[in-house]
Amino acid sequence: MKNLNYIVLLIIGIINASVSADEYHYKDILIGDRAAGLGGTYVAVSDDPSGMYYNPAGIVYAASQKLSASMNTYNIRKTTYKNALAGKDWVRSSSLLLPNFFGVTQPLGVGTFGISYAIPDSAIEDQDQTIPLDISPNDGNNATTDFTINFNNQDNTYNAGPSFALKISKNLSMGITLYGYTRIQEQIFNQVFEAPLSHNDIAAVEATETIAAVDAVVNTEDVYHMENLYISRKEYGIKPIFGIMYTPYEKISLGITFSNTWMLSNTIVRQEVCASTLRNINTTLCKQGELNRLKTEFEGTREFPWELATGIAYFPSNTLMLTSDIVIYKGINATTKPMFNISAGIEYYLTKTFALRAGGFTNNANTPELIPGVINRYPEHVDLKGGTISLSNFTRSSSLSFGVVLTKGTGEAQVLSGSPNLQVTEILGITAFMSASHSL
Amino acid sequence: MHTHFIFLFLLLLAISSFPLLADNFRLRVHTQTLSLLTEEDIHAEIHFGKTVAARLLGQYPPYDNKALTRYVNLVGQALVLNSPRQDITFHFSIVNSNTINAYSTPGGYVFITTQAIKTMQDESELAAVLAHEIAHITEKHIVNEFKIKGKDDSITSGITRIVGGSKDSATVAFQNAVDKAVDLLLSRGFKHDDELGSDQVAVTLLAQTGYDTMALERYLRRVIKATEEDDRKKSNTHPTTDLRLDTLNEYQKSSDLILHFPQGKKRFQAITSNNL
Repeated sequence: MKNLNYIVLLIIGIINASVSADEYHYKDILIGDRAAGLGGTYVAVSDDPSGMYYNPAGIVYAASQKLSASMNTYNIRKTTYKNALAGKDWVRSSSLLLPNFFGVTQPLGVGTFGISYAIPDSAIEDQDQTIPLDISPNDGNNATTDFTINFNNQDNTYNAGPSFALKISKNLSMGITLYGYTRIQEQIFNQVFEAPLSHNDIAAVEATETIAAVDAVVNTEDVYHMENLYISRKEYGIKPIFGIMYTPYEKISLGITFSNTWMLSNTIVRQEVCASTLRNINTTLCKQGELNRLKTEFEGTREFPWELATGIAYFPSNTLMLTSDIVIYKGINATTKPMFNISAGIEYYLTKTFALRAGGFTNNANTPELIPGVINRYPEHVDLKGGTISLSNFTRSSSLSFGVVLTKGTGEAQVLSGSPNLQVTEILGITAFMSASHSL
Repeated sequence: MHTHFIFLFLLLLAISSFPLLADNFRLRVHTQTLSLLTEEDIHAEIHFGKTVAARLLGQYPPYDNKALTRYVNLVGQALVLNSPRQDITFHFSIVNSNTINAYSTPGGYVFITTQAIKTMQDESELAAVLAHEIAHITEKHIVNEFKIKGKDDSITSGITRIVGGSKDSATVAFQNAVDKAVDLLLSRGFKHDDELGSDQVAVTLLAQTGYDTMALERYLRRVIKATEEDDRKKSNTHPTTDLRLDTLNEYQKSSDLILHFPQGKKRFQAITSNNL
């Protein structure tokens, strides 16, 4: 019975499906029409409402009082864990239509005031996957079973709040955005394994196969294992962003921002149910022949890393702009490691009314590389790289942008509970966006 | 911690004291389309100006005298011939008020009070006041302040409104802007730079039309005498007359616009004495 051990491991739980929209990366959804076209490289530009997210100091340089909205962002993300399930791939996919940014700025007194909301991370996963598994004994008899996964996960992070920026002098401005932070997650994860084996089948298997392997199976006619997991998570906090924009030389702009998220409350409710007829199963939740429930509630806070972003932009003419950013994230002990992302973007006006933008960026994992042979604390490490391209059309009072963001990366993961095995993991993300800006 | 703040403060102080550099390099080429004037813009300006004019007439009833109204219109139209705005039709009206003032709204609507005409002594002074109001229109002071512009009916703008879920900004802001424009004309007044600029345009128009370019100065000096000092200080609709006179003098001298053209005294007095 060649796959039984493996299946037993599998059905004890594909644990790490509870990973968030993407807790392991910081740059999952690019915000703002112009910024998205530039690969999210906007710290030294930021002269429109999306600047409130990237560098609030830049909004004082907006060409006009402006309202901007990225109303249609369609995001598809596919994570493939190679050979995770008895030689078969396990694929998690998410697709969502997302209004990911809205912002409006208005000169107010000596400065510029604005208000915005941004959704920097979001996932809607709805998976109903039945995986046929071959558990045939080596004696030539065929035996197969199904492993069914029902997985629904909705996980959204929202930032919303006011901004204010002040022009200190003609070449220096400062700004602050005070976002309220909210993360809402609801996840339902069902795993069902049912083997069409009878006592006689088992006896036949036992006669020909390794006893130890078969021993992991059952002594009842119907062999099944079912787990249900429900997670509800509500996080609230604040995220201030301090920004400075400075012009050291004509046509050169430097930007720097400093931000962090302080969580004020965090409530996690976790309900688990397990029913199993597996003979030797003995975990906290799962025991042979028992139906067990476990409900845990957690209230507390968690720490977020400081983010320091710096950028430079060069405006050689009124039709060309080049920009580059580097964002450094401080690690948090035993939670995330220090890391950085870099990005670069270019904007070129084909005509007075059409602008082409392109960008490249990294979206590195904040987890350490996985160590083979041991159970890693964080089960995934995939560094991502992305590219963007967009086209904007301007009228006197508005602009419309279409663009595509492509993200790709390969790394490793440990998706099976209790197993030190590593799976090659591929992540592919495609975002198409259509955004609109209005001048007031 | 304090050391860090002090360091940051000193750094910002040092940076802010560096030589100032132009920041207009950030403007992208598409912003040039903002200044293009379309037919829709002109329609919007006229519609806006007509609405504001109607509100003004609600405050000040028109002075019902055809002869005097025709005369004011003739003088005004003569000035308009030399104005850069040949795309709109100017209308000149007299309103019944004891206040010395004149008003103009976008789209070519000019009002002058009966008391202002009574304060004048010749046609060139009437022309000077009308020219000043014409200048507010040709220089688009209200249009620019309230960003009055035509509806953008391009395909891009249409899709943008759908995507952004918003109405056309001009439509949304229209009523609000009318209220603010009436407040500007009756209480708040134009920006001082706009007033001073209109004086300069007015003098140029006087010269181009063949009126005495010193008429505006004469009229302003008479207004000073006719108006109590306290009232002038309280008036928000114009910068101090002294400042206006100084700036005007300087401009006329530097531009060689001290031209003693006809004043039209007899004609003015003949018409006004019979109709006011």
